[in-house]
Amino acid sequence: MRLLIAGLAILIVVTLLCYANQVYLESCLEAVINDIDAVVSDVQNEDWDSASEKLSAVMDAWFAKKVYYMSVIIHEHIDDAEASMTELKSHIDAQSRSEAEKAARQVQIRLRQMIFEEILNLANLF
Amino acid sequence: MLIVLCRSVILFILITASMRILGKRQLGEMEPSEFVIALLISDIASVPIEDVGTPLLYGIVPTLVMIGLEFLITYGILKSLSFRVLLCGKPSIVVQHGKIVQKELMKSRISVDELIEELRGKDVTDISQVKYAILETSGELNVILYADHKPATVSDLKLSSPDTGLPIAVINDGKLLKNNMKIRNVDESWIRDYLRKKKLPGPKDIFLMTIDDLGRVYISEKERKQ
Repeated sequence: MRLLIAGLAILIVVTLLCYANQVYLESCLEAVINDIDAVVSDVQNEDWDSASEKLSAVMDAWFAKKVYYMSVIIHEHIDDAEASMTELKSHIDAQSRSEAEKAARQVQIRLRQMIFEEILNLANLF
Repeated sequence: MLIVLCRSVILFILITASMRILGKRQLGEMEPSEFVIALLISDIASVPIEDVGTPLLYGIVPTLVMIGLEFLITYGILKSLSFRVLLCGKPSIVVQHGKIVQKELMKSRISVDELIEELRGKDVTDISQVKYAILETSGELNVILYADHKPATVSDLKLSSPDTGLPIAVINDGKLLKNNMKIRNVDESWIRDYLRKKKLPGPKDIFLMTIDDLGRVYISEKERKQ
């Protein structure tokens, strides 16, 4: 009986932790995507100061959670997302609207890819 | 992370089934699920170690899943005979009453040469002397000879032989083993006296000293460096 309880306990705890991680990671990354949307709207209005300020806040929030991201996401994907964010920052500083919009889309694509890779579906399973 | 969990379960089931299909001879001494666990855990653990860009949790989660599954499987094996048969298979009788059971041999995918080799390993050269040869689920071949071909024991010969019991080491590589000395009711001074009487050097120069239930002592001195 002890074996059964131990086995079930391990599997239940691991499953719950995995599920909780998926939900939390999704909410964190969705929040970043929404914040990038706000940056994009400032870029479209050519409000460069506000865009720069908002992006800095997004990056600060991202780096504050970086340890968590690194413990659950393949590090290469994190590096790619950060590179895209840095590119976005440079285009905002250069006040280049079309390039900034393109870079923002790139950041969002990378973040959505991270969310998608954690979702339990047949495509990811196989 | 759920992906890693599900992949672990899928791989576990797949590899256990594969090992079960492959048969006993692939397994050596392990049961199929134990073999899969050993195989997978070593492989899973190596990925985050080799690739630092992979989070450590990618190795920890599947390993925990393997352990959980192994517990459940062990419980199932202990509680249900049919589950045990499903997972580990049944022992196969490959020789019965001196005759090779060809159907079982084929099922176990063992050639006659391999059977004969295994029997030779058990000091059996004549198959007609074998009452039963059983291929266990662990892959080991156990041989039961006909009574008149079994080696004679002391009781068969109606002789008496003292039971020496288990010889226990009291000196191992020059070191006195206090716990074992207590079991044999001897102390250091007894050992030193004994060695002196036998004109042997002190405990430091003794490689092995054992004492059995009857108080019989075996001593092997350390080899001297040349």
